Amino acid sequence: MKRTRYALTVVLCLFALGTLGYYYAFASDERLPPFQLVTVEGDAKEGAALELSGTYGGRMYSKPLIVTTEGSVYRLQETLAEAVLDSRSWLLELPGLKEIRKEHPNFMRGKSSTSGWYEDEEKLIYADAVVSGGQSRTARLDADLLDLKSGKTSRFSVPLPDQKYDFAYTEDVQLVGDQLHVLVAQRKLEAGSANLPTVYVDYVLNLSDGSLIDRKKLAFDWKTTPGASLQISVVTEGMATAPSDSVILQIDEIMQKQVSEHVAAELKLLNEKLVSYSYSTDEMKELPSLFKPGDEPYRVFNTLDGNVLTSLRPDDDADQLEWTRTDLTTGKQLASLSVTGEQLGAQDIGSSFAVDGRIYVLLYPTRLNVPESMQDDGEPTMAAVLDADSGKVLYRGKVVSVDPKRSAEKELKQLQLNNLNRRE
Amino acid sequence: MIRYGKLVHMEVRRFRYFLLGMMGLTLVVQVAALIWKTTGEVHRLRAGGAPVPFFGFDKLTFTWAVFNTQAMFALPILVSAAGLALYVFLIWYRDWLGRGTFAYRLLMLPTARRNLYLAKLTAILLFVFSLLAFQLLALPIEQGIFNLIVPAEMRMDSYFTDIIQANQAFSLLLPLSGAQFLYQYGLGVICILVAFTAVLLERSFRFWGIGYAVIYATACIAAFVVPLLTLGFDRDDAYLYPKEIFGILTAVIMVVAAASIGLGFRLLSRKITV
Repeated sequence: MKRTRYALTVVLCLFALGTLGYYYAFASDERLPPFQLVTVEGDAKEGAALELSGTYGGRMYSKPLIVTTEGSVYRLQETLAEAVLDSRSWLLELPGLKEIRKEHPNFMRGKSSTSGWYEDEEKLIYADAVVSGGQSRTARLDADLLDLKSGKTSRFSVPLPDQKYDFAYTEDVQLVGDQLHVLVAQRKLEAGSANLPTVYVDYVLNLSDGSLIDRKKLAFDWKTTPGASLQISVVTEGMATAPSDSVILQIDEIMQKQVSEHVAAELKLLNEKLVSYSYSTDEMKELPSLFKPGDEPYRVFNTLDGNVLTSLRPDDDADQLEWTRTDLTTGKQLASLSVTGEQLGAQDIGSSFAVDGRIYVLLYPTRLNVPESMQDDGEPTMAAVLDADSGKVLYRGKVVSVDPKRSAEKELKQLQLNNLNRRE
Repeated sequence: MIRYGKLVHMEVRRFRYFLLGMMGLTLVVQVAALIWKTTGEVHRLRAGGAPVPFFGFDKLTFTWAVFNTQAMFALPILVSAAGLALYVFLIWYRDWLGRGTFAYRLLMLPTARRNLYLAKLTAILLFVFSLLAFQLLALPIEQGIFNLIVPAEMRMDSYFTDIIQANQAFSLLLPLSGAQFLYQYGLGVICILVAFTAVLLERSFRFWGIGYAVIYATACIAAFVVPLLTLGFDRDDAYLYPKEIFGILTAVIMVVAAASIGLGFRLLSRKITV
């Protein structure tokens, strides 16, 4: 009798520990299939920088995953710790800002703009246009400077002369000699404001005392079609902190209709131009664009690497990609090339982007524009890296199912990879 | 150690019928809901009804049954959770409110009084984990019942993890990530510690103790919630980095846990009155 006195508690302990232990050791594992990017041709090091992301659909809910040359990682339920630790990863892991966070963490504190950074061998600068307050709002320009040699920091804040705007956003920061150029996009928010243009102003500050010495409003001399408006965006830099003498603006002429007080429905892209603005000469120059009449918005993807502008344009059927490379210092076109999906061993071209003199391309084995029933499923998604100046294939790889116990064809059918990124 | 084990056993014995009742309620309500839902669908399909695709599949699955009986599957779990939350307080008060001078006898036992505190904490955790384990065991039983109702040609197999994710209560209480389970139930343990200390404050200082208990619990909640809301872990322009905010929150949790245990032990050994 005495031996069984504590049996209830012992059994309960064993039952709880055993069942939960088994659950977390075996049953909670979703046993999702592993995939891997393997080299078909070229330099495996180029492939090691690639990251393909998408979903695996062989379960009730699709499972987001990332496939690399090392294998696949499923992004499953976020833990409480990850929710805090990864909360600002989109900002803190950005190329250029990641390095600043590591090397100058105290300088980066509280700074959230991705386009307000400038860095050269001597200085690290952050500038941000701020509109604060409600009715009695004030617009100002804050700038923080870190002398990389002495480690000294300085800060100045100047009120912006244009106080009538409700919204101000820093688009670019560059240093020319002793003058700090801050390109600010400003806009009013009021009834029917969707058709009000955004004004771009280059504020010039004296770096030695922080005084505002000039302001240059960028004028876009473009007659628009009646009912259309201009939408301006700054072409992004591959590296958020990179120094450059000029900024590239993409100007889209869009026919649009106001659907509510602040929201406009985009209807049609009528024209698209690329304009470079030089901070040192104030000169605005139109650049050749890959835009073709009938293109959808964002068809042409422009990116800036230092002083080289790369423009990418997939064709309507997604089976060909063309691109140009222009040296903005000399105005010389470095390359005007194209490649088809078939040349790269696939059918259609998915996403593509240009960084560091390379073109990165996601490739699909089947045609995207044919009915699902006619698609030849089970073929692997591919990725390629091309030299942007010569078009030479540096790397070509395909995604494979690496578990020999599973049907590769069945698992690949469930895999949808839609994005291609470069790992830093 | 032996005294501690005996005290845990005593707490388990005192709660055994409630625990069995909660387990029984869970099984009965879930099985009833399963039979009702599944037989209805099988009759509809046999009568020529068109199959309703479930996440791309035309055949019936146990996951489908769990997904479509959300409230009925979750109800007994919520009742059990509420019962256990109430018992966090009752586990102390029943010693005072019960027959004669039971609390007095417990406090006079020739063992460190902290064993009383630890035994009650262990018992509550054991009840929680036993109910979770029972739910895990109930699912294969319910799947067997589902297979008996639905003819083989009408059904297909389910992944166990899909079944867990099909019900919001399951995915909340039994997260697939072991790390999330530890974080979640670790926070739960600290909540129990705070509640225990609040009860002991009330038992030690009686009328004024109610005020002390409320102040203590509020201070503990504020110590965790205020940094969470003000340090801005989700704000892009926050001054502190996420790692620093995580460090502060972890330190706060540790301090709250240590303060609750320390104060609880001290009250139990020096201040408590019968």
